[in-house]
Formats: sequence, C-alpha cells, structure tokens
Amino acid sequence: MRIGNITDYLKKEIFPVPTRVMAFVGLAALVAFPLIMDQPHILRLMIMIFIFSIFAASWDLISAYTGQVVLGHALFFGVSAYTCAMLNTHFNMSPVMTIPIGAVVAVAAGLIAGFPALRLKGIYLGLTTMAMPVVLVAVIEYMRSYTGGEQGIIGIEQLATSRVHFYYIALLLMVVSIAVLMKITRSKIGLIFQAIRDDEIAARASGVNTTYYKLLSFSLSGLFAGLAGGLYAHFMRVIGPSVFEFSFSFEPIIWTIFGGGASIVGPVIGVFILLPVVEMLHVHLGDNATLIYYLILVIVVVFAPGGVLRLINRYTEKVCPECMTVNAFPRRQCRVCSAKLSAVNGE
Amino acid sequence: MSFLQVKGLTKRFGGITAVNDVSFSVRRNEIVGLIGPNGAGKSTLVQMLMRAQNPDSGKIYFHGEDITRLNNWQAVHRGIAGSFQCTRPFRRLPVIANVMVPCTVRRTGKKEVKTSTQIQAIEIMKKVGIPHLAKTLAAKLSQGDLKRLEIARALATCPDLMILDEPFGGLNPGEIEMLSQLIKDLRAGGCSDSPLDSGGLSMIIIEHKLSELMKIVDRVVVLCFGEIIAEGTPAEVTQNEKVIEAYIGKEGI
Repeated sequence: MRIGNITDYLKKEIFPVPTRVMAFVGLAALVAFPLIMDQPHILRLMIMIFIFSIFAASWDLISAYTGQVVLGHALFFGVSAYTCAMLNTHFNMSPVMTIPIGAVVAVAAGLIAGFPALRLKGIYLGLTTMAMPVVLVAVIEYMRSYTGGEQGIIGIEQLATSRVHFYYIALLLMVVSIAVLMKITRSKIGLIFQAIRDDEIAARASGVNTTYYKLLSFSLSGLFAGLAGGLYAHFMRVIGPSVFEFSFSFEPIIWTIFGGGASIVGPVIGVFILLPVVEMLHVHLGDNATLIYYLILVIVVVFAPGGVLRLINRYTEKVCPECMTVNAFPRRQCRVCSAKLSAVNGE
Repeated sequence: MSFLQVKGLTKRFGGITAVNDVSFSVRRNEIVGLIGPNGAGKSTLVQMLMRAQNPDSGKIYFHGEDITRLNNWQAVHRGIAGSFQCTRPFRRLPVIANVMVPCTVRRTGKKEVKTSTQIQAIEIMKKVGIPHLAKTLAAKLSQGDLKRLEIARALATCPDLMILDEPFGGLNPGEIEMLSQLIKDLRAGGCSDSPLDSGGLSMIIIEHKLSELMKIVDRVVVLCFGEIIAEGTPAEVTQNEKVIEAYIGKEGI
C-alpha cells in the first residue's frame, strides 16, 4: 500500500469518527508505551490486559454473538495453557510450536463443549459448560505425574527474553485477534451467528445448517481463548488447576457486560478499564477491594445497561438513518450522503 | 406430475393421533388451502412437510425424491420454505439483515447470477412491499409488517413450494387485501433465481378467514380430527355436507 492511500484512508474513515480516533490514538499510545514506561509491574499489567482482551473477546463471540450461554469459558483457556505447559516441560517444545498446538487443542475442546449445545439452550447449556472445567480439574488430579496435580506445572519457558519484547508480541497478537474477530462478526458468518442467537428455529427454517454454524462458533471461540491461554502459560511460567476456577470463567462475562456485549471491542474496553481498577483497588484498599469492585459493576450495569461502549457511542457519534455511515456527534448532515441527522441519537 | 406427494402420513402425540393416514398432493403452480377446525392437525401436518417434525409413519415425496428423513434446513435447500403461525423474526437484527440470512445460505440457481446478498434482499423486500423498513429493527415492526417479513424471509430461500401458516392472522382488512394481492403476484412471479424452469410458485395456505382464502386458492383440503374429510375446488368444498357440519356451520361463509 502506498503512503498516499494510507493517509487518504485515515482522512476519510478514521478522523471523522471520534471513537475511531480514540482507538487510533490509543493504539499509537500502546505502541509507544514501553518507550516511556519501563516499570516491570506496569508492563506486566499491560501484558495481562492484552491476553485477557483476547480471552474476553472470544467469549463475546460465542455468547453475545451466537447466543450460546457458556459459563465455563476457562475450559478453553485452561486446556490450552496446560497443553502448552506439558508440551514445553515434558517434550522441550518451543513456545512458537506449543501455542498454536494449544490453540488447536482448545478448538477440539470447543467442539466437545459444543455438542451439548446442539440439544441444550440458555441456562441449561450454561450449567453443562460450567461443569466441564470442574471435570478437567479432576482429570488433572488423576494424571498427577503429567500435570503436577495440585502443584501445577512450574518452569515453563518464557515466550520472549525480555518483558518489553513480550509486550510487543502480546500487543500484536491482540490487535490481530481483535481485527479477525471483528471481521468475522461483520461477515456473512457473523450475520448467521446473530440469527441463531435471535431465533434458532427461524434460522433453521431459513435454510441455515445450525449444527455446523454452532460448532463453528464454538471452535472459533475456542481458538482465540486457547491462544490467550497459551500466551498466559508462557508468560506466567507457572500454571495450576486454578485456571479452571469459576472466577476464571466469570471474569470474561463481567468484562463483556461492563464494556458492552456483541461488539468485540466492548469486552476489550472492559478489560482495559477493569483490570487496572482491580489492581489499584487491591493496592489501596486491601480486603475491601472486592466490595468496591462489585459496587462499581452494579452501578455501571444499572446506569449503562448496554455497557461502557454503548455509552461512549451515544455521546460521540450518530448513525446516518439513510446510509448507516457513522458520523461525529456534532454533525447535522451525513458526511457521505448529506442526509439530515436527527438531533438526538436514535436507538 | 404432482411435485409434492404425501402418502399415509401419521403423527401421534402420546394417545392422541394428530394426523392420521393423510395422503394428498400439490401440483406445480397451484395454491392449496388447508382448512379445518382448531386441533384438526393442520399445523402438525405442515410442520412435517417443512421437516420441523418427524412423522410416525408415511412418506413425503418432493420432486420425486423421498424427503421424509431430511431435516428442516435440508428441506429448505430442496425448495420447501415456510412461515410460522406466530411470527419469529430475528429481533435484534434490522429487517434487511433478516432477509439476508436466507440469501447467504440459499442454493444457487441455474443461472448462477452472482448478485450480492444485499441486492437480493432489497429486491425481495420490494416484492413484498417493505423496502422502506430495511433499517428498522425487526422487534419494532407492526403485526402486518411482521407477516410480510415472514413471507419475505421464506421467499428469500428461493422456494418452489411455500407454506404459509395463517398469513392473515391478526391483520386488518386493508392489510389482508394487500397480502392476498401479494400471494397472487407471487404465484405468477415466484423467485427469479429458482432452479425450476417456470418462475411460478406453489403454495399451501392454512387459514381460518375462509372468505378471503377462497378467493385465492385453486383447491381446498379439509382436515378434521387428523383426517381429510373433503377435497376439491372452493365451490365444491363449501357445499359439502360433512364440511358444513364439522367446520363452516349452517350459515356458510
């Protein structure tokens, strides 16, 4: 691509829309961040944010887009993390190999987890998927000699030699994952996922092979959750059965609801806000942190039911009723088709 | 040759036989009305045709192929589309996306015209008369528009046989007028991408509003307690003693 094309694209598609400017500036800031900040614990927090962003967005795909209630998302994350850890420590495989393999194993886990979804719906499916990580904890206990049992696996190889190096790898993988997930949700596949979410019977009556698309959604979601899990294992260098805990399954749900579901970007915003908040609360409040954290969540859910993203969109942009182009909020006319924009943001 | 053929179809729910040994056929380009009192088994019958329910015994042939064991979406790909008695839109999607869903997965026609699904969807919405609603969320539509969306979505699958379950339910007289006209137009026009040579469409319509139904159908099948009690042209059926006793009543329609 020529430089001229890029500047043209920026001028036409990025700069007229406030939220895109925010994303652009935010991304640039993230790229520049390690240059001005080299405190290891801050970099560590940022890397965790990147990893969990992928994890949260993968939950958004399966549950908020496809409507399959998954309450045991830690399954995919943990399966991949354990696969990476075992392959690395027992067979000396390099992280470059283990992470893709871990993600593939997570896809297989997604297919297995997807089978109940062919028969079950809503909270019943949720309960089934919630049980799956618990089953795996038992398996890990049983196969103590390979998995280390309760102690977990230690001494996993770092993916990168320095923390800054890891920072850039994680950032790149996050950006690529989010871009791919957004591309999927805006494609025909994404449309079919949403149709299945809204009414599965009607989707089938429209000629959609719902079995195929549900399993596809499960495996795609598993793929990205698995990628996050592999990165996590090779970053923490220690993993234990705690990756299958309920809290690990519920975090992505909290992030998604906080940031705004069915948007892919929403969960990422959720992680970017909530993870530092949790960190800060723990430093300053100690044991009271959890209380304040959940208080914040309740307030956000009550006053911004669509999540933070919806709130930001509401006050920064308007969608043209004619051509669906996104416009900056102060505009009176659409920037593409010059249609009149309403004064209030119509829902 | 009749292109839909039903032979000895039976469906039981526990002790109740909802559809009992029903056989009939539909010819190409024909509109068949399916009438009968509540609980006669009309909806069960068409759900079996749409392959949303499995019969206990009997066979369904479509284009000479046995489709009795196919599932719902496979039947759609063979060319049988249906609308629901209670409309089931994709609520959180705009109308155009509702129509695009079947367009994205439908079988390709003989002509292999590669138009974008969006253009296909707009064309179908025009045919049904809801292009102005393209960007409205389906959850916000009125009952009449929902019925038309339901038909648009069925039409978007490019069917040879369309099954409408109470299309006039909950509509006002003006809307019924419009919908009857639409059904007549569709029979003539059908789906332009259809693999069939003729553009025409066959339909099975379940309806209680007999005076309106009789104006658009070629033939009527009357179902009572799961069995066919009469079959024939609208004029024949309305004169039939059994039908008057079981369903229409002495006052007529």
